[in-house]
Amino acid sequence: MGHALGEPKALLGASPSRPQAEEDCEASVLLVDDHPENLLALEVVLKDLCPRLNLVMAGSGQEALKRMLERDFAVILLDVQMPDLDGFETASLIRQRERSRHTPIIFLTAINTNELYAFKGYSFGAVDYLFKPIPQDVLRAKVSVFVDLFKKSEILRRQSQRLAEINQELSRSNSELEQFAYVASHDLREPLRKVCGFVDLLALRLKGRLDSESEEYVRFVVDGVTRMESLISNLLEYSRVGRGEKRLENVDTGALLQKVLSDLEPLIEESGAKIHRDAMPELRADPLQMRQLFQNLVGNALKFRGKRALKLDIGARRQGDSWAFFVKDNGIGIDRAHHQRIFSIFQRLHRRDEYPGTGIGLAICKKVVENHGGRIWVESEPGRGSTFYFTLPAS
Amino acid sequence: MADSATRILLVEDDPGDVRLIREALKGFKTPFELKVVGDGEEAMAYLRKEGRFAAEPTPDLILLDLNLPRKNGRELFSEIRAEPALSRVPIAVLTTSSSDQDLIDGYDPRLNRYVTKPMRLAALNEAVMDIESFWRQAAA
Repeated sequence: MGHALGEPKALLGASPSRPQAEEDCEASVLLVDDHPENLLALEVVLKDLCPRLNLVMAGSGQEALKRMLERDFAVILLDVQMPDLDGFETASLIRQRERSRHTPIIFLTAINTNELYAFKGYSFGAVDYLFKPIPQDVLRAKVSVFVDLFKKSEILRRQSQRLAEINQELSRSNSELEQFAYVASHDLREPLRKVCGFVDLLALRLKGRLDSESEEYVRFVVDGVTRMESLISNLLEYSRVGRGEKRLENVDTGALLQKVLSDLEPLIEESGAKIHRDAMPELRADPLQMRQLFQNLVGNALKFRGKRALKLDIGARRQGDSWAFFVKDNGIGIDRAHHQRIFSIFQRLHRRDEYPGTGIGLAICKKVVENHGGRIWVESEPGRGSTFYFTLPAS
Repeated sequence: MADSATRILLVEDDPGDVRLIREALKGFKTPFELKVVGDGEEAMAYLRKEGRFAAEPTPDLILLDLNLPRKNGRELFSEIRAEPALSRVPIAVLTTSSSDQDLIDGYDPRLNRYVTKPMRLAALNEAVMDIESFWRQAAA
């Protein structure tokens, strides 16, 4: 029975949780030999190989297996000729354990060609041989290759683990936020409805008994509440789209646009808009979200129409494996400086008494398009109309 | 039915809403008698004529708010519909959100109506008129 030369060194202090460099990483090398003087010789050669290197020594195959339960090794230097469990037997036991299946092993042996084939059947992972007497520089070079490899993969492993954690945190906080927005806008409506209902009731009761100023107050309350309500329902819509759920169906965008236009009929009539429509494709999309998209874009064109008679041009062109849609108007246009920010939530470019709105419509459009794997942008100049483009994958 | 007044059961826990609905029900052309219960458990006890509700008649129309404490409106709706003695009682489901609309999917539209509670009183009056015509159809 071999015996250990000295106990394995205690684990160094806990390694930093997120090492960015190899120097921060520690690595251990397991030296297995039944002759204490051989272990000592190995230790002398390897001890200053690199910083944060632990040399763990085992005097027998059994002890080596025990050490392997305590930590992972960058490489194992394994003497072949040992009593009881020899090097090859030890190696095959090491290989049977899932955790150490790929731990590199360097056999230390006196030249014996037959021996070299003995382990062939078990050769998973890296296996190498060093022949006694072992040249020091070769030993150092081989071990240092495996130690480097170990440190690099350790860093990689920790980084990808950290990335996975960050991803998980991110998606959790995102979905919590969306859930919150949904619940909040849902529950905020209840009290609001009550305020509105009772103010209406109060106004009804006091009809003819209020002076003109008080009647104005009532109007302000109702205005405020109505505005709050439209903010909340738009937010609700936004958070619903934001949750990224979509029910894909075959959507005939031409028929859908027709529905949207007939919903907006009163506004279209009022504006005297001339609408030209191209043939539109059928594609896989969420019909409700598509409707929101067209409704917002056409609705905006009607709203920001300026003084000229409104002309609207709506269509789609095939571009490779996607469709590029456009909604082109001759309305008031948008300064280049705002072409990006109009797609962010709560961004408005006009005073409320000029053009009322909540600043959510285009943010919804952007979410819808991005949910479907497309993108949306605008080309526009003040006074020269706007063209909104968006792409959607063709089915 | 000998009694000519339509018996309406309102399941609603918010006193303000009870008041507003009471107000809007003034537009009901059919004479009616309104009973109010404040939560799902009480509603079920009422409908099964348990305890102090032993003498209460089965309502002709249920106005069911979905936002209820303890047993929520969705559970209550399925429980009522699962009860043979109650399966033909018309229910108007009242809610603030259009996302609950799927609740009555698959149920007889003549007996089950979904009503979004509107913001303004005038719209609430209209909703109640709509409920009345729904009830007339269901009763016919």
